[in-house]
This record gives sequence, C-alpha cells and structure tokens, in this order.
Amino acid sequence: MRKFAHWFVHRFAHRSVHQIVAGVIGMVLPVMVSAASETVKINDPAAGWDKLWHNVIVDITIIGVLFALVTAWFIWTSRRRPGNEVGASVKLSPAGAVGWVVIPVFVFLSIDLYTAANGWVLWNHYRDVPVNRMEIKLESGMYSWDYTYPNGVRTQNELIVPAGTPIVLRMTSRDTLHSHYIPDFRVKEDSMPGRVTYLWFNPTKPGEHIVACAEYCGVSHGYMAGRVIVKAPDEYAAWMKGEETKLAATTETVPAAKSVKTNKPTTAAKKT
Amino acid sequence: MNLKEWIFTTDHKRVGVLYLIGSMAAFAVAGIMAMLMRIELSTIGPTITANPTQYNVWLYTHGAVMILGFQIPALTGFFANYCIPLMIGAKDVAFPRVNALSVWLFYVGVILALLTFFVPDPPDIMWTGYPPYSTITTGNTALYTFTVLILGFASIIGGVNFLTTVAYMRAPGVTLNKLNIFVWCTLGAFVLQLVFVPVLGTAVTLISMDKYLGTHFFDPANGGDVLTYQNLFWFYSHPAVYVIFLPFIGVVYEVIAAHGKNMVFNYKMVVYGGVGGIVALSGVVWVHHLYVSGMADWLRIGQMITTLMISIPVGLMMIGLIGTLYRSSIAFTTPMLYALGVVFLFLIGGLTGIPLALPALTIGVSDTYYVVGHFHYVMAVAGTFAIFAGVYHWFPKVTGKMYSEFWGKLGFWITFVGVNIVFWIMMDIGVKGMPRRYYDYPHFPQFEAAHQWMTVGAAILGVGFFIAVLNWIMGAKNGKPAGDNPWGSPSLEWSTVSPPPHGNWPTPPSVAEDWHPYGFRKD
Amino acid sequence: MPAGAVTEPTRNSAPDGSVMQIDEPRFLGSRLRGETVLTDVAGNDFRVADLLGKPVILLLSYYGCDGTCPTMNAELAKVLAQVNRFALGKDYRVLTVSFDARDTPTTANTFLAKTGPVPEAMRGGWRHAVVKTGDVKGFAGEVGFNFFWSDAARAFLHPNVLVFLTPEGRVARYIYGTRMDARTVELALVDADWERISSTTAVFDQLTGACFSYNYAEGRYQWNLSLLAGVGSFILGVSLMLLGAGLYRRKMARKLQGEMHA
Repeated sequence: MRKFAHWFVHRFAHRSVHQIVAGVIGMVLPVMVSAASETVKINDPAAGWDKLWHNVIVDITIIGVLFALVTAWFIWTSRRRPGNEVGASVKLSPAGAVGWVVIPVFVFLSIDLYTAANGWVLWNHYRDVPVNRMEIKLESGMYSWDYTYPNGVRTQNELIVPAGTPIVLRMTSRDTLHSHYIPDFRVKEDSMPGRVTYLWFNPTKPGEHIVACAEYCGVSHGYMAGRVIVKAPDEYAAWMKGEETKLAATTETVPAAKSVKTNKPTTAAKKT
Repeated sequence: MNLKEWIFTTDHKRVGVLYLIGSMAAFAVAGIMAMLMRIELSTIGPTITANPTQYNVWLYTHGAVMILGFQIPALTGFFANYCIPLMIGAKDVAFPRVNALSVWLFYVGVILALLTFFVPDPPDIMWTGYPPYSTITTGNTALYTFTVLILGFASIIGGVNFLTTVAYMRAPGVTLNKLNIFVWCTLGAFVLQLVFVPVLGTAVTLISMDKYLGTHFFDPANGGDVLTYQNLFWFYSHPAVYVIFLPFIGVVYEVIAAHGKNMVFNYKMVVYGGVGGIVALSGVVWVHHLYVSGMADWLRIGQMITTLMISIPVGLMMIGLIGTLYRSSIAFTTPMLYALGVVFLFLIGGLTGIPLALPALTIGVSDTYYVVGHFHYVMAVAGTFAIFAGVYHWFPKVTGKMYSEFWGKLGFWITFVGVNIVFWIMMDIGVKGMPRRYYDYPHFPQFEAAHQWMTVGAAILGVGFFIAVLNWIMGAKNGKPAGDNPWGSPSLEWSTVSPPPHGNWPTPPSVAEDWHPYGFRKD
Repeated sequence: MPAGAVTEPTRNSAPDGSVMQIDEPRFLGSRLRGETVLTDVAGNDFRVADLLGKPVILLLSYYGCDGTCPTMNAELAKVLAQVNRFALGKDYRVLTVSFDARDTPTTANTFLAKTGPVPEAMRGGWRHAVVKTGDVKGFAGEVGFNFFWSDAARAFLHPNVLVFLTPEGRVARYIYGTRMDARTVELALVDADWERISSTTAVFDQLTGACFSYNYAEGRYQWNLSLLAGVGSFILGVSLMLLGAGLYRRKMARKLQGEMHA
C-alpha cells in the first residue's frame, strides 16, 4: 500500500499533476520541500497542512465565487418583467444534453483527482514517521492523558518533549473513545480500547501547546485537556534525569510493575 | 373537522399534514435545545446549567430529533405523502392503511425521543451513540435504540409504500420520463432507506444488547470490536445524508421551476446523473466520517477518492438548478427566496466539504466546529430552507389560502442573516481549533467572543423561523383564498382544486400527449 | 488467579501465574531494540534487526527444558506445515531464542537433536538462537516475557506463548498455550503484518482480518459478530430491494402480455 502510494506520488503527483496543473493555476504545492542535504528528511505535516489547506480554500473560493456570480447574473437577468412572462429555456439537442453531462463530469473529475493527488501526498507525510523519532505510549482514560516514555517514566496530562525530535504517540484507551488533538500541530487520532493507533508530530521550538479531547468521551469531555510542553534539548535532558531518579526511587520501594493500570475497559472489569 | 377523523385518517394528504405537524413540533423542540446550548456556551463556565450531563442531553436531543424527528420525516413524510400521489395523478398511495401506521409509528418515535425530558436517566450519548461510552453510561441507551428502531421502521414501510405507489399507480400518460424531479429524488431516498436502515437498526440494537444483556459485540476484552459500530453506524448514516439531501434538492427544483416558469435544465442529466449517481455512490463513502478513527490506511485513501467523486452527481444537480434559472422568468415570491437561498447556502456547504474529503486535511479539523459548521450549512440550513420553501410553495394547495408575502419575506431575510452569522463564525473558529461537543471551553478562552456572536446569530435565526411558522398558522386561519393554481404550474398537483378532496380528483386525471410537469411554454 | 498462592512462588508446587503473566496492554505495540546480538546453532552471530522486515514469530524457550519447550517447538512445526497462505521464510520468519543464560549453540544443537530437527522446508525461515551478549532477561523483558527458576521443579517456570512481531519489530499479538491451530496462526500473522501481507492488493487478507476479532480474555480469534450482523442486515436490505424490483418486472411483463392477448 505505502509502496504503491509512494510510487504514485513520485511518478504522478510530483511530475505531471504538480508541474502541469500547478503551473497553469500558479500555485505552489506542498511536496516540493526541504533541502536534500539533510540525512533525515522530515516532511512536517503541520506545515504541509497549512499550505494545502490554504490552497484548497483558495480553490473552493474561486469555484464558489464563480458559481455564485453566474447564478446571481442569471437571477438578475431572468427576473419576471414585461416581455419575460414565462421562461424560455434552451432546448438541448441530444448531443448537447450528453455534452452537458460529459464535460462537467470530466471537469469535476479532474478537480477531484487533482485534489486527491495533493491530499494523498500530504497523507503520506502524515503516515510516514521519521526514523529518528521518540516513541511515547499514551493511554487515555476518563478524563486524562497518561504518557509512558520509553524508559518507563510516566506523566499525566503533560507531554514533555525535546525540541527537534519527532514524537510518535502509540495510543490506546482504557475506557471510552478519546481523540488526542493538538491544534497547533494539526494532528489528531482517536484512541480506543482493543486497538493501537498512532500519530506523530514534529516539535521544533520550545513552547507550550494545548491538547484537547476531540472525540466525545463522557461527561467531562470538555475538560479533558492537557499540554504538550516542548523544552530545549538540554532542559529536557535535565528534566528527564530528574524523573528517572524519581522513578528508580519508587521502583525500589514499590515491588514489581504491579502499579501498571490495567488496560481492560470497564465493561470487562465486572466479568473478571 | 374533528380530531378522530384526523387520527384515523388513511388519506395521504392528511397523513402528510400529520407528518408536517409532528416534524415541526420536533423542529421546535430541537431548535429550543440548540438555543439552550448556545446560551450555555455564551460564557466560559456554567451559564444556565452547572451540569455537563444536562448540556450533553440537550446536544443528544438536538441532533437525534433534528435528523430523525424533523428533517427525514418532513421530507420523506410530509412532502412525499402530500405531493407524490398528486404529482403522479394517483387517488391515494398504494397501501393507505400502512401509510396511517407509518405516521402513528412516527408519532410514537417522536414521543419516545421527547421522553428524554421525563426519564430520570436521559441519554447523553450524542446522536451517534458510539460505544464504549454508550454501553457504560448511566444514561438510557435503550431509549435511543428504540427511538431509532421505531422511526426507522416507520420510514421503511413508508418507503415500500411510495416505491409501490410510483411503480403501479401513475395516471395514464405519466411516464417515467415525465415524473417530477421531486418524485425521482424521493424514490432515490427511499431506495437508500430500504437498503441501509436495517444496518443502523442492527447497530443500535447491538449496543443496547451490550449494555443490558451482557453481550460483547463492542467489548474488545471479549472479542468485540469498537470500530465496527462506527462503521455500521456511518454505513447507514452517510446515506441518510442523501436521504435528506435528495428530497430537499427535489423540492428546490420544483420551486425554482414553478416560480421561474421554466423547464428543468437537462432533465435526464438531473435524474440519471444526479439522483442515480448519488444513490450509486452513497454506500461507498462512509469512511470519511472515520478519517481519524483508526481505520486502515487503504480504506481512508480509497474512500477519499469516492468521497471526492460525490462532487460529480452533486455538481450535476447544481448545474441543473442554475441552468433552470437561466432564461427563466423569476417571481421573487417567498418560496423562491428560500429556494434561491438554498442554492447559495448549499454552495457554501458543499464546497467547504471538499477539504473534509481529504483524510490529510480532516486530521486537522475533524471533530471541530468547522465540521459542525459545514454539515449545518449542507443539511441543517440548506435542508431546512428547502423545507420552508416547499411548505410555502404548496401552502396554497394544502390550505387553499395564501400566506402573507410580507411576513414570509421578512422571515426569510432574518433567518438568512442569522444562519450566516452562526455557521460562518462556527467554521472559522473550528479551523482555529475549537473542538465540538464541549459543554465548556476554559482552555479556549480566545473563542468566547465568537461564541457570543453565534448566540446572537442563533437568536436572530430563531426569530426568523418563528415568524415563518406564525405566518403559516395565520395564513391557514385567515389567509385570502389562493385559487387552484396560484403559481401557474402545469405540474399535476395544481390541476385539482385546493385543497384537494378525498380521492384527489373528482374524475381520474388524464394528461395530454405533450404534457410535461415543467411544460410552462407551449410551443 | 487462585488467591493465596502468592507467598512463596519458588517453593510452591502451584506457583502464582500472575507473576509470569504478560502485561499485554503495556507491551502490545512496543518495539524490540534491534541491536541485540544472537548466535544461531551454526555459531553465526546476527542482530535481531537483521531478521526483521517480515513478520516474525518469536518463541522463547530454553534448551535444557524437558517440559513444554520441546512440545511448543514440535507443535509449532506441525502447525506451520498447515499454514498454506504464507510461506515460511518468504512471508514470515520464526525465531526460537533461549532465555536461559547458560545455553550455547551447542546446547541448542542438542535440543534440536532431541526434539527432532526443523523440517527441511522450514529451515530457511526458522532459526534457533541464544542471546550472545548475555542480557537474556533484558531481551525477554522487551516483550514482557517473565520467567524464573524453580528449585522445587528444577526447571524454569515460564509462559507458553508465541509472540508475533511486526516487520519493524513491534509486538502485535500474544498467542498462548501448547495447543495451536493453523487458522489462529494465520490470523495472527495477518495482524502482525501491519504493512505488507495485508496490503491493498491482498483483499482476501483484509477481509479475513476484518471478519475475525481477537478475544483478549480467552486469547483466541473469534468471529467479529457485530460486523457479521451488520453485513447480514445490509444483505437483507439489498435482497428485499432486488426482490421487489424482480416482482415489479414480472408483473409488468405479465401485464404487457395480457394487453397483447386482449
């Protein structure tokens, strides 16, 4: 699947569609990015999203304004007035009738495929996780985000990450559906019991970003918020060191990994 | 005119009017829910209720009742019942008693939906009812299940009835190529209902079985699958969008042709390309509701293409509408204003759906106010405007009297301004990150002003709708006699007296060789 | 788990299984470090990463075992012979690794001699290995596999489990027990291959993958009943529609005939 997508993207979307159509309409498209000199090429989907969103909005605005103007013109010129008491629609010849189907179909289809090609490119960026990523597990529950770092450090509702490292969240839920939505990184994906889903984002600068729940999960859905805190790499390292020390201290006193919360949904709990 | 006669009626016109009254009541209730929600959201923190569950119940009621209790029954209940037999020159529907049963079931369904306000544990599961929440909530999932089942059943038997009616009961000379566009659209909608409603029925039954009978259909700990529900639900509920879209665009065609006194542009393109294309594609696009639900990548990409292709039949229908306007003779009556409003509002709604066809862009805006704004433009606003256009258009036929043009136009303009304030702002803050289904938004304080504007807009559009409904009531009571055919339309429903008697025509209608429902110009 | 068995696991004849239980929610989806170096029976060193790129069935055994480990290996060989959809070596691989730090390639050979060698057809895709660098506990821990030595039994106590790894080395499924069946292994392989076997072209795999869902409580695959119910009701709707259309056509044809006769 991915191979085929890449094939499509490189063979088709990059060359013909982008260069020909984009040249005509005069738009810059999201894929021609990033310097080739980098060893790890990261197609940051957030930037790609903004670009594609802008392009699509421009497109639909043009289409919409055209249609609206034509409609308004028709309405104005065909208002009922003396000499225009009854409509005088054009009688289409059989060829005309077919033409009015075939030509619009191909116009719409080409717009569709053009949009689809762009969407496909960006979609691949969304699913193409960089190799130098950090993987963090996320278990969502009513109503918190519980993160587990690769070394076992845990945080709740605060995802602290170093700037410059792509972050992958492997997500599951212990009760209802949730959706980890980070508006600033233009990314969300549902988490649910019984399946593991993922999303990734690329924090580049230190800062704070809100995390909101975007899938109705229960009474306090609106309050299920957290933060992504991006720290400079050295600050992050210092923080992580502190957490590791704390973790080591607790694992010595609390026996084994029994403190792990069970992932079984609450419905399962009553059966065991 | 006594009550008993109305309740036990088998006359399709009375059944239709009963559908209209019931669905308008549902519209009022669901509209009040929307207003309550808008007031609640006008400030951060509790405004009129401190209980999020109360808000969630409003939201559930608003969604479920608007779709299942208002739009589908108004379009496939009232318009189909009232207009289809008249348009095809039939005395009544094929199974008048089944028809009466369907309207009774519809009232039972609406009452069940409204029981939400009287049970101690009202459902708070949104109109989608996704498990696991719907199977673990303290809210009453069974109420939801039975509402859906009963309204679905009412709709299915209505569908059987109308498909049979159109198949067998057309007057001589009313051939398939001389059916009104509305009839074609409604047939398409009923085919969709018949094929897809069973799937929804199964899905909602399974969640209640999970909740009350201890089965594990959606419990992954015991071999169930959470995602299957979402697939089953949207496998029906996306076609349900077309169950609403097709009849409403059909109504708009009728209104624009009659008030523009013009032949529908490229009739066969509209019927085969538009209606046929939508029916054909409607079953293979549901995954666009699940772009961020963890579906397989190939399904998301595959249905991105099919979803974009929906623009083809819909585009053909828009070309048909705009082509019908070309060289027409437009009288700016109230129904025509509403219908023209639909053309523009649907343009906004349809085009803002294009980014949502792409999984990559949907990742950014799914489950935000952008989506809410989009589908309100498409379904809620365009659909409701079309319903109002249709009610105004056939008002003289149903009552024999004329409504007030002044109040009608005033109501239209007020509503038109209101909806654009609400839903335009809604889409805007959605793109900026406001998630939907929030009782409160302390983490998004930057949107408070926008929420307040939307509340104002909602109040404005509420006033507009109120004026329109009041105009109907006043018109039905004190309107001037309208005459049999005030719009001068050759469509068959205008060929009988207003209001039509039981049996519709004193003698069965027969149509001339060159008759056409849109044959305004004789040459 | 039976209560009261927790106190002295090493001396008790019925040790508490929960100690060995794999914490599935925690480890499903975890990724193996590919750098661990293993040595196979021929004495060749290889990294775990070298083996990946296809789904891998990881079987943790120890070669001094005279209990379930030989059974597991023999049973797996028997079952894999019945897996026809995917070819061992070409579509997926099997890796048996010892979790006993004392094991060497020599003991592995002894084990193979005792349990019967890997069938000829499977040799290309199935390797028996020991951990070279010595941190066996760490390696097993990466997939959540716990074990301990029981003095009473003079044996290791450990879960009997097949760990299904994705081509990039993530834990996709655990299948427990010494009794296996080919269908379960096939479905788990489909599940384990997040990218390749279940590709767009392999519609059949997608369908089987969708028709079955994994039961976490019982550790087996079962029919995805909700989906089947939904598909069934859809088929009902479509067939009623077609029936109606068929009846209409027949009636119209008859009417036409009747008119011609009249």
